[in-house]
Amino acid sequence: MPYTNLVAISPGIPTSFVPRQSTPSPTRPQRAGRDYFFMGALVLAGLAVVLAAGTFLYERYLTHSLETKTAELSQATANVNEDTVRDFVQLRDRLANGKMLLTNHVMLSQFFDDLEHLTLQNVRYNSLSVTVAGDRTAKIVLSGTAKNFNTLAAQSTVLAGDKRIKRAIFSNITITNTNLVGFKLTADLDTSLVAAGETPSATQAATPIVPVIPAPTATTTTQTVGAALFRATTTAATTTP
Amino acid sequence: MMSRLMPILLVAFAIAVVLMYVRPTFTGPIADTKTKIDSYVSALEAADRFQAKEAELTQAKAQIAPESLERLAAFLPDNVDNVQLILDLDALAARSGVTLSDFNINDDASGSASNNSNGSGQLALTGSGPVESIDLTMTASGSYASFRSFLSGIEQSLRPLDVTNLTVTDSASGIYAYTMTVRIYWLK
Repeated sequence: MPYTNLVAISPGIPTSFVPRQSTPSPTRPQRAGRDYFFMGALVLAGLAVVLAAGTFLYERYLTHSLETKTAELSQATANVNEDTVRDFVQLRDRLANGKMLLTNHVMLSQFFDDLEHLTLQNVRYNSLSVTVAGDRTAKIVLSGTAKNFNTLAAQSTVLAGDKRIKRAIFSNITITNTNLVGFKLTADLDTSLVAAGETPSATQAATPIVPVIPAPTATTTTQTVGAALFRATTTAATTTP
Repeated sequence: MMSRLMPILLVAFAIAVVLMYVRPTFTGPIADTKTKIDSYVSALEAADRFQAKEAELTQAKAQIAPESLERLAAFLPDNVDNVQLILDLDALAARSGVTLSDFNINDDASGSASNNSNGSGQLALTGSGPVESIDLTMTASGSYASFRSFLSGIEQSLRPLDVTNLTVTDSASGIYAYTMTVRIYWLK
């Protein structure tokens, strides 16, 4: 066999005398990485277990705390006396609404006082109707007679001078059989004349423009002041229109 | 093979524990329990405030004379008690020289006085509405002076009586006829 022919060298025979550096085995770092990964996974699993245990204990703690709070709340509820609470609520309602009732209390006496002061002596009323509205204003309807037209005109002027009596309208003006002037008067009353809580201002306060209280005479000693509103006064005609 | 699978299993276990127990427990039962506890704590704080307020009110109420409380209860009673009121009105009328007759209760006007109505006779009150009212119409006869005395007595009555309607009719004898409607109030 010629030497020029290639002959396969046996794998066990080194092809060079230069010593080769030994290469590190690839299996070692892979193993170390696997170890780290394993350790990390183990720590993670351990943390998960700790977290789960903590969650479980925390839940138990909260449940116990809830039971405690429930018991405390039951005790606090049991300490509440409903009758006492009802008494306090009623007292509050009485005080608050009582104050409101007093403020809005209707006192028609002040209207009658003013009507007496504002009525001329030669004017008498036959009937009176007062209706109080929800806002404490009132509407009055009066029917009566006056001695003559001058008296009626003067009465109209007197009423117009009191700002608390609004829209005073005289109507149905007729001459009666007794030569008196019959009339019907409608007007609206201000709240200050009706409600107790309203205090009339100084400028609006009723002033006795014409003295309507007749001096007691032999014929009128038994006649009250108020009766003059509804009865004809024949004794004091000279002092008034 | 087992050594490679173990870390993966551990990680999967950790994730499973978090996702299947820890997180649902925190968002479910724990959150609910904490909400309940918070509301209970608020309720307990309110109960503490209530007890403090109750003690304060008890002390304040103790400073009010019992007679004043009785007068206040008579001022705004718990019920309408219109029969007793009619008896009282009749006694007042007798003292004033007025004769009363024909008492009528207007059921249509009854209702809460807190209704802020401006209708005729509906007296407006504002507030939460624990007060109810009813109208009592009565006729009377007597002199003007007697009636004024009676009217003054009504207005100064301990129990508030609001005259919502009044009609006076003349008479030749000097004895006038009166028709009046008074509104009565009581606490619900």
